[in-house]
Amino acid sequence: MKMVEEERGSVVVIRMNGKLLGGPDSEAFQKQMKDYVSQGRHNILIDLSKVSWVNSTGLGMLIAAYHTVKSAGGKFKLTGVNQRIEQIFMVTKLQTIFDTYEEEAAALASF
Amino acid sequence: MSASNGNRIQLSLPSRLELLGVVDKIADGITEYLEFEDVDRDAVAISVIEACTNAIQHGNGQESGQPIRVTFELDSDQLTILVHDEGKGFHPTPEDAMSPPDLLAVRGRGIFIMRSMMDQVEFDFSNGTTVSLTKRRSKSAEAGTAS
Repeated sequence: MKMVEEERGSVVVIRMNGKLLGGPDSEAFQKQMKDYVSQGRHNILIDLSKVSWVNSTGLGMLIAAYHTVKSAGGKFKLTGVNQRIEQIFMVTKLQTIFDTYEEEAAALASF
Repeated sequence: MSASNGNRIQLSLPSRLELLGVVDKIADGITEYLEFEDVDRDAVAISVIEACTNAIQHGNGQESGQPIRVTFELDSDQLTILVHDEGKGFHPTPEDAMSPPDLLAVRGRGIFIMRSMMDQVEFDFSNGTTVSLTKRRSKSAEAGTAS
């Protein structure tokens, strides 16, 4: 999985590309989240539009990131969720905790 | 009724998470061939990926030299996928099997996801671990094929 960071005003947009499989990616992703929070960058938008699918370990990555940002008083949002990822969010009921937006502009405006 | 050898597709792959994309493509190709509906194609692919993730991480402990074996059995009315690892395996608790984990738990969703998305999920721990996942063809998909 590849990640590209982009600053959009007060929001850090993280564009993910590939498949969220957990494994070694989890540690790097979590470290990055902790770095953002320690730098006072508390508004995080994850762009999943180039992520084809997520397994349960990849879900764990997102949940750990959600914990890190929310416990620091920040906001953690998602955009670009495809049908397959939405299906897994529905089954696991994670759509009730993840704040998701179809359009990136709407997501950015919501911070 | 199990599939005959003429309706069986089998692959063996090293225990490496990055190869799950290969399994995903094959699962998707098979459900497309069987003319499953889109929602069922996603359900099968998601569940096979979960079973393979468990086999690689928990069964074989990510020992890439230990392969996992995935067998697709194509029947006229259903698809069964067997995912086998050679490790010590794991023993799902009733809680793993039937109820969702704590909403904010970082781990522990794999078996619940499989049970939620497939019609039947069974475990055999007699020789390594074999997970059997079955998805029946929806009535509308059967009608579409028949016409």
